[in-house]
Amino acid sequence: MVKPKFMEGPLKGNFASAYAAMDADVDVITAYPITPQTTVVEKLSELVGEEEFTERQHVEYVRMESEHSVGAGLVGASYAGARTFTATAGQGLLYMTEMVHWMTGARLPPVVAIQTRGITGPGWNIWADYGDILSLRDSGIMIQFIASHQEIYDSILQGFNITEHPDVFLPLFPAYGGFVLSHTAKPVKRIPWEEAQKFVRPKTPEWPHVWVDGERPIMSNALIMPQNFYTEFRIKIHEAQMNAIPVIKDTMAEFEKTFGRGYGNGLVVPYKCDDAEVLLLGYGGNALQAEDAVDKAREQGYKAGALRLRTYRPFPKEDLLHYIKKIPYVAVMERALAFGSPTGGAVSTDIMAICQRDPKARNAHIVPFIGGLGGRDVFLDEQIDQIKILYELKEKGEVPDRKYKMWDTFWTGLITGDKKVEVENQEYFGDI
Amino acid sequence: MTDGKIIYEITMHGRGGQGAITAALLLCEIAYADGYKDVLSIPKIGAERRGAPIKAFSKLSPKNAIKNYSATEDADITIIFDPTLLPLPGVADAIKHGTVLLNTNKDLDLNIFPKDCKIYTVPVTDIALELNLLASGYPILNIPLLGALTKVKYKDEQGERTLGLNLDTIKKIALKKFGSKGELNYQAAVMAAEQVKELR
Repeated sequence: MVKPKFMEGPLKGNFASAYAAMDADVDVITAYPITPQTTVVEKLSELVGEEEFTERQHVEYVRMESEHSVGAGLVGASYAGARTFTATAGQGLLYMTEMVHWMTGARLPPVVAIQTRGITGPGWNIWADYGDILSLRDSGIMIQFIASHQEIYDSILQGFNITEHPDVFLPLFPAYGGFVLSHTAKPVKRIPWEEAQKFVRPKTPEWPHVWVDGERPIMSNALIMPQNFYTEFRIKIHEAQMNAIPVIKDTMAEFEKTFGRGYGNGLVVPYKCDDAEVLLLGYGGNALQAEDAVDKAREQGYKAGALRLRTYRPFPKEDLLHYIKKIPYVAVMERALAFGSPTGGAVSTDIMAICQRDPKARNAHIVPFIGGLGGRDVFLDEQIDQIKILYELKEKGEVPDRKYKMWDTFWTGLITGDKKVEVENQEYFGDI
Repeated sequence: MTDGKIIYEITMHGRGGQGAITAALLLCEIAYADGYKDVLSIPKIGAERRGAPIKAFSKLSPKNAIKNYSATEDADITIIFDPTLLPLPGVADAIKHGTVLLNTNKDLDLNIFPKDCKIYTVPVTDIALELNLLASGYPILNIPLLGALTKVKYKDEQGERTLGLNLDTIKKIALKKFGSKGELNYQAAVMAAEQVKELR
């Protein structure tokens, strides 16, 4: 047995992705680079040739000529029964979109790590912004928002237990902030191979999820006429999403029992919600930072709690309502803009919808916040201000005004002659 | 770690190619090996350009989990790789408190820093050139600066102390990461630790 080069220490988020894919015993990786994902596939190209891995597993690493082909490669390899993985971001994900719909339509189980980044226009942007992954909100993929480096590793390792579950058979896209997590480093512990294999779903004889066999040819994904089963097949994808809720919970519970660490129930992660009067709800790195904001605000006498949305699709309706009914003053913070939607945010709109359907949550106050787009830092003070806004609402009964409130949504951290932003611009571009 | 400070925030100012981003990561690895509970290294990535001013950050937490991924605004320790960076916006003028460690072999006008800042200098470019510690012809500054950092002190209401980093740990990590150049890196770190000067 060769001694692993890395088992524990500060590790870049993208390297955590790469190690997790290897430790989850993937068979096929298709790859095409794009910032800020590039170091995932670079690291994987190294790992597939390293002795630690070659002595126990064979991984087919296929360089493709575009993300569309990367997606097609995953579809093909998954059909053949391979466990498949890739990573992409931003424009790359957009280019892969057609194949993403194929993955869900054909009920294939790849895991695809997303290093979220701003979508082009106006100008290029490569920094954290969840607009890319949320543009695939309705494609049938499962979407998870990841908030720490260890969680990247753990989520990808859990991923195939969810996607390959017979009740699910849908791809999973764990997403984390480009550069915020992808290029920063924090301590990560790898799980030793034998222990990981006891946890990861075994490749048993009945495992190939789609039986493609040259001796027994079948036709798949042919034309379906309107009077045939198209509607029913589509509903089955929705049903699989619903089925995934208990599977994600069970997988997380088993992971926590085995390895002693976990992330809420896999769907939502509460922080100091027991006695909270107002709630900061968010996702990704900003939602983890909200826990710091809660601690700071509590020092000033504000009883706040934080709730991190970890799984967005399937939407954890019951878990969210459980907290919202108890704490009916909720700020929803999003790092993505859904143009023209009721609140500007996809998640806050969904949350308002579930509240509307529950008589006990119908009067909850949901206050949408949007900020940090294209990687702009979201500062602790801004999050503490969100807590103060919720308290003003709680005391006066109506949402207070701020300079940054437009169309009933708060837009945090806007440039309005703010000196901080001026200095940053000078750093990037010099004296223009 | 028994240090009561919640998080040490360290900002590195360098020029593209001087190794400031690697330094931020190495510092985290050293601190984690030396017993810090949580660490976070943040590179501030723009358009990559050799010679252009860049920033990188390390957050070192003796006891608690780090949950804040934002860049540091008010560093406890500022490490400056190149004295020509000092007059640029966001470098010397962004220092509000704490300790400054500067790579220079010349005298320094201390008035550009706030009065209660502790100031250290160390000539790591000279050290790297003397030892022939080069990468693509450029002197390597990051490991020597981290060597100097082991002697640098931080002061607050809890008193004056170093970060508790060890040269032995630097040696271990340099040998693991830089192979044949590890030993030379370590020598430079030791020399820097000997030559670092406390000006105030």
